[in-house]
Amino acid sequence: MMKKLGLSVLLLGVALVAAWNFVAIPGSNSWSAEELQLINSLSIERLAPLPADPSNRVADLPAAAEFGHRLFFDTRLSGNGSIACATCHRPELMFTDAFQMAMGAAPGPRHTPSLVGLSHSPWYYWDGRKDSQWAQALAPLEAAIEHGIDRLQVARLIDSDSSYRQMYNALFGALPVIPATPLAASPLGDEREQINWNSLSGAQQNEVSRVFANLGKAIAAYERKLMPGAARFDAYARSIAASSELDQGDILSSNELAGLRLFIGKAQCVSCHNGPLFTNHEFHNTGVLSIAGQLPSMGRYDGIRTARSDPFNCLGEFSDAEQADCIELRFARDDNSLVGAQKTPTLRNVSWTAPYMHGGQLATLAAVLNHYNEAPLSMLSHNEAKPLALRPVERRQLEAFIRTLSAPLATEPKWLAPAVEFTQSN
Amino acid sequence: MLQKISLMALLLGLSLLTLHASEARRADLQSTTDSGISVEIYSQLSPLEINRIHSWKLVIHDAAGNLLSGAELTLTGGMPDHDHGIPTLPQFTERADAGVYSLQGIRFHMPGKWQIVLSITNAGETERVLIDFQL
Ligand code: HEC
Ligand code: HEC
Repeated sequence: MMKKLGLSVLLLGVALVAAWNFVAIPGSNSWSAEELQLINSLSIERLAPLPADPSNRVADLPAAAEFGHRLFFDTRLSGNGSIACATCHRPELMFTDAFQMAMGAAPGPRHTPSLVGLSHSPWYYWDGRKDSQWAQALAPLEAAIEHGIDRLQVARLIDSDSSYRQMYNALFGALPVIPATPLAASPLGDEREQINWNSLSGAQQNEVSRVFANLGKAIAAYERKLMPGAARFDAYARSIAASSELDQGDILSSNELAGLRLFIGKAQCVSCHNGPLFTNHEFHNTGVLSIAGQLPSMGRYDGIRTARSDPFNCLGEFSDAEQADCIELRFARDDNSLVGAQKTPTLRNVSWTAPYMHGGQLATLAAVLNHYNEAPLSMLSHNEAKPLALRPVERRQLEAFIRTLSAPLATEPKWLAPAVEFTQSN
Repeated sequence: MLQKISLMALLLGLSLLTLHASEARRADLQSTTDSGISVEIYSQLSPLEINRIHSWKLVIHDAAGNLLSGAELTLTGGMPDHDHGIPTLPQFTERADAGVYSLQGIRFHMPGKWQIVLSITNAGETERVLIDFQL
């Protein structure tokens, strides 16, 4: 008798565990007005036109995008002749690299983010230490672990390639005389490069830095072409615009719909991953474990300070903006709430861009959902996300929903491979 | 008159202060302090939306209904249900016309319930007014 009872308790337990893990609770079969509004706000059809970049005069000139396109894929823009932007930002991987940490001239300290739809963001890098896409593009060129080249050699490359020189002159006016010596010079380089930099006159330094900034502006014009395409979720959002019935044929499965309901409801993902790009472009501490072998990242707390002192920022002499245009930089928050805060990434195409987070700490979407479910304490400051108590089946539903956000880019194919002229002339 | 009063009551009840019949354009937000100072907020982005930095014009009248110039204003805010504030540091910049104040650099970054807290210091007295709204 006792044994029989024990067995049935055991069986009941097994059944309950199985149900907890696998059985979905049937949801309601329509959306509330608020849910409909949220779903609509995520649709790609609601994506606003690309915001102007007043700090970059050539941001929307086709000739600048053509020039930037060639620069983006050009490995001659590196110390060892083998690294281009596209080495790490690979078009076929939504401009990521599938590595946990970036691999340039040497291993890097951060995971490579996607560049898709990024031109909508006012801030760049995980910690937001750059306030424009053109200023961002300059940093990897001079980073020893990335391209490992310097602004003087980059300027000289433009001077020595007649087609580059033509493109440059047409956009920015005549290329100045580039000093023939020293070989390499930059205010940010190693000791030798800095000494060399200081051997140039102030006027020469200014001219070389201006050429360098202009190349960043051309690269940014190219990056503005990289836009996400309509995915299955968007087809669904469009289909329910007319009616609040949940079931719209078979655009989304019942699991995907349940995931969507969690995303905008109980799981609160939409707090930060909102708008048509599924990001608010803001900085949040989400308690992601610090990168092995590194101190926890100070995140945006340091990032905003770096951005303010960057000579290439919106208020700097190489920017085309008026002071009044630099609203984001002038009114940015810099307090303790930003300690350990990283920039919210887009979730568009995220199922194709593993691993995840600023250090590639989480290998799979399932691991990401476990992370949010637990909402571990942050090593620095506090985790803004709260534990979710999602059942395993709900986590799988959320993941299924996130997978409906992937689709080929809405970008002309010619931008997704090296420029044709370039492969011919090389 | 009666109609106006009941309209005000309705708006108060909803704590969603969005209408003001006397302006050509409706204020995006509005409220009145305990002592009767009225605040109307006209947003550059109307209706208000998340993720875009923008500016506001605030029109302030004293209890007698006259434009109130020369007050010191500060604005903070956040989401009462989450423990965070406005993601930018909006500032009152120039003072344009009489009773009109200009706020720059405001942005909201989450859908949901927001609250702004406006402090108005006039003639040595400081009053606070809370305005709730949904984004
Ligand atoms: C060695 C690999 C590597 C190379 C080469 C590289 N990047 Fe990156 N890129 C990264 C990594 C890693 C990050 C994130 C670093 C951080 O946030 O601290 C990044 C960040 C960015 C960002 C900001 C992304 C965001 O979400 O804010 C942009 C834009 C970008 N890179 C463009 C470029 C351009 C343009 C080039 C060429 C001039 C380039 N990258 C070269 C690895 C690389
Ligand atoms: C408080 C704001 C916030 C909330 C809420 C939030 N996220 Fe995030 N999300 C972020 C930030 C910030 C990062 C980057 C963190 C890092 O790199 O350390 C991120 C990263 C991610 C990534 C990795 C993207 C990549 O390219 O590396 C995924 C996937 C993700 N979040 C999904 C979700 C889901 C699903 C939810 C709901 C369960 C959610 N997020 C809730 C802010 C948030």
